[in-house]
Amino acid sequence: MVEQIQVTQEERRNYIGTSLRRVEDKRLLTGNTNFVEDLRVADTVFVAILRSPYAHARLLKVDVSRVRKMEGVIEVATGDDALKYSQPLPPYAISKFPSEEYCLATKKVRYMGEPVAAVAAISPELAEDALELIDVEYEPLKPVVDPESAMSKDSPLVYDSFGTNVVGHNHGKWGDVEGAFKQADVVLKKRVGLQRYSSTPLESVSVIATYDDISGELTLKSNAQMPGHVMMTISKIFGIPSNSVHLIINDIGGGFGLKTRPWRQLSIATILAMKLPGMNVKYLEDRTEHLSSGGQTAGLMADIEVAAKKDGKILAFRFRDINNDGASLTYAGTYASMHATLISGCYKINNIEWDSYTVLTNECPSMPNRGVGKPGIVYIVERMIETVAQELKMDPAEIRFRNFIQPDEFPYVTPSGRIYDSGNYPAVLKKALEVSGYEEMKKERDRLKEQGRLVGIGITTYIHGASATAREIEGITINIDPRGTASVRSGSPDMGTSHSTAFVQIVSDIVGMKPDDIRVHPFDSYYSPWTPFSGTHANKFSGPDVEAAVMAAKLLRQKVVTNAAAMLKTGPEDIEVSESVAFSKTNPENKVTIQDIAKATYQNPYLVPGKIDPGLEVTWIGNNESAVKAFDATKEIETGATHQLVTGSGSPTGYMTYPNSAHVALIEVDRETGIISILKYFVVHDIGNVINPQIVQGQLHGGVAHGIGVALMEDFVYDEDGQLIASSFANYLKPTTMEIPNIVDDHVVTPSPRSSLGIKGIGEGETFGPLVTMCNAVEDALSEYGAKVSTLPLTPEKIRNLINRA
Amino acid sequence: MISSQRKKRKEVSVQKIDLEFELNGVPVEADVEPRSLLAFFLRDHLGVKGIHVGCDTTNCGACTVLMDGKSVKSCTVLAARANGTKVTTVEGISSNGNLSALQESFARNHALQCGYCTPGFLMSSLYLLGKNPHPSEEEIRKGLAGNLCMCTGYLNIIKAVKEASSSNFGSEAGNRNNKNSGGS
Repeated sequence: MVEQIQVTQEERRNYIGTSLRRVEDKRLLTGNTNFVEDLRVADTVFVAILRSPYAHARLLKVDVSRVRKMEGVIEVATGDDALKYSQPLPPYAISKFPSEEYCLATKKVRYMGEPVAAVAAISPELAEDALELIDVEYEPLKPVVDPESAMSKDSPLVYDSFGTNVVGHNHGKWGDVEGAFKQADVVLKKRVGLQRYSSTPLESVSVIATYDDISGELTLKSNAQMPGHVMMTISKIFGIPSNSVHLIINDIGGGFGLKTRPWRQLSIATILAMKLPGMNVKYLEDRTEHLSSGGQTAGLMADIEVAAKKDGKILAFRFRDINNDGASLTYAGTYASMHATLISGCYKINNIEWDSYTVLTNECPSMPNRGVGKPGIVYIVERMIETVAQELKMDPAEIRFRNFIQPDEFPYVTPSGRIYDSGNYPAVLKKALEVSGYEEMKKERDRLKEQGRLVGIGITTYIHGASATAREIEGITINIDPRGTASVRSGSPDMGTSHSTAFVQIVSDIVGMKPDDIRVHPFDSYYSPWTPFSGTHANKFSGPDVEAAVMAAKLLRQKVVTNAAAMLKTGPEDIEVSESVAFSKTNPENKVTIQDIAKATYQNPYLVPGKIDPGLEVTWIGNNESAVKAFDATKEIETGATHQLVTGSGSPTGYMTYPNSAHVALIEVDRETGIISILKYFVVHDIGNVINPQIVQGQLHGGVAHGIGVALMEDFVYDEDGQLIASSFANYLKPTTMEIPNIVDDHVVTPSPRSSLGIKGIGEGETFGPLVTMCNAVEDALSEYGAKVSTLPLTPEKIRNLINRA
Repeated sequence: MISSQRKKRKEVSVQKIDLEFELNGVPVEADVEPRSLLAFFLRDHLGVKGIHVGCDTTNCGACTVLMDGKSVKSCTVLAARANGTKVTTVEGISSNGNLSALQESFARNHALQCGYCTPGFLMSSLYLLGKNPHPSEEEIRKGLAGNLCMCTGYLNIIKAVKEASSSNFGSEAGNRNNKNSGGS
């Protein structure tokens, strides 16, 4: 148990809870940015990577003798260099098998797009040209792309030494599953699947690597979103002390998880940098590279069996899921393990059996993507509820009300041992029905259906799981310098997520400063605090990052108050601080600016009469007491967690907060074309208190838009030879302004008792809803055909097939 | 070590062609490889940061610039095509650090998150508003359908363009090739 420092004074709230304009925007709006591609430095060489055209092949020869002679080519790297300079890429979740994967292929290639060799040349164009002069001999092998086939004994093996493609298995059984099934009025079976997809940050992965062979320092200017993992992993892969890895993260053009573990890209650039000391080695991953090898979600297929009473009460369910993590151990197993995290959703279902398999195939390695396996389990549970409602001819809202965990049951312990912090699920759905005019909408649907139109309503209610786990502690330094301006440095980089603005709001209110006096600096491992977890992922900002900021700001305020009291010759209890001025509560005219406090405490600290605390800087690394207590309780009872971090052993994954949402949509299907139009879309969520309502709404819009993309169009299609068909935005389709409907949002507020600001997470959660909502709405729209949906995306072709088959 | 590497950096002789054009109101003379694409030429040789390449296949629009007043996706335009034209990038639409009315509207409406796509959206919006100073929501949606944003879900971008258009935007957009076209 961490001993907590008690800070008692109450601060004013001028900024937290308001839509303060973003401090990030002016630079971004004027093109004055520092994305890696924007950085131009002298002595730069440009990297191009030769990638495998095969999904599975033995690598017989990589001959670089011709390319080495090419004018403009400075250096080349192959799998031999990877063996010489680096260690295998570390797995995150699975420790049972040794990693054999290097950043450049050795012996075998295992997916289309796997890096085979890399060239550094004096221009990006010449680097690209040079790839043609690398002579590679492959012996093609039969690939395996279907995860179920990959499980069979006679399947080709992705890693021969493993002896199997099934690298992970989870089994959990809670309550009396058999007994509950015996008592059921209805037992239903359903197969559901999710394709492989990606949030595709518009900026791919990029890095400038520089190695100083005299000092032994490696500098990486990169857009990685988890500096903590990069510091732990790159230092380990290359045997460089972590205090000699200088990681600088400026602007990040979106991350969504795809930039959490860019081991291949960073390692290849690092190898070339080590071969070219002093040179700046610049690699900008292109779109096709990113889509084919930068990471995708794990594909999901699940067979569900559910037992229910006639009144809609769900008694039990069992499911078997198969997760396709592609050709790498690096993130395999994590999607599956997340299913335990939200296993019963927002429902009181105590009898559950879960049988889960993680399978490797000759496809792109998996990577975290906005919620990891959480959208998968939400999809499983919500599609199951919908199936029961349809069978019982019950209103989809009504069946949910009958199964909800009730507001007086928090903290609620789920069968798999997660402890939900707070919530009011009936209130959220009730509000969603009100806001959407559900009763009227049903009449409108029926009226339009009578006119022969295919109109349907979809509803879903679910839990997110947010604010990371309490163990994923973050670090922050807040400093008021000798001239009275404040700087914030943290291990949590902003990737479009408005961290800077939110930090400014928190520091403004708690310390008592003007927002304009505060600047948030980009991550720099030489100056920013970091932990193994440092980064932007798992809605972590709303958890450990905010807690560290709040605690550091309170401690800094204490210093300001102590010094102000000494200067104003009054007691600390008499001091208020607001808008960069400290004053006596009893005599507000007795005041001193923070600028003057800084001047006094730094320049003449011992001339001030009374007790003074020189230096206005605080670094805090840790989490708050109630979050840590909740985590301790969870870790004793939870199952299904396999996270290894980068070097350690398995660790619990109980989230710090559990926000929830209700989505309601009205859609129309064009009978002739199969095209879906979203007529109305509503979101009501409970994310507790809010730091900045406008930013939260932006996250909500973006989340729903991504979910709609996954539901309707996005799909990494592979053919049977393991060739990725969707390898550009021309065939991996993203939603545009034409597909995203206007969204009406509203809120229910149940503050999280584990957050010192009462907040919960936002960012990942709203992406899950459309996956289910669209399926439910399509089945409602196509009810006259009795059409059932089992997989996404709901392309016009798929819809037409459903209609034709009926 | 650095100097020994520098020795390896022999100049590579390639045929180049001369290019003269106006970039954000400033005359530019340069020589360029015939195969150079405008986006990379502007970014890598002229240091223009307000151009991003999100796709290479003309799908994302992050590289959108105005060429003689028309929006083009500069990743699929040869740099040589810029000869004799006036090219405007996002750097050319604000002056002395003052945001234009459109940029102000983007900030006010939270129409950007990571900001990577933002220059492209601003340039496409300027082109749209130049043609149609008071577009309907549907017209804005159609006008911006060639730009991808992965963060915002577009709604605040549409709102920002709508709001900018109703604040007497036409005169500013009509003036868009002028370096000082910032409206605020």
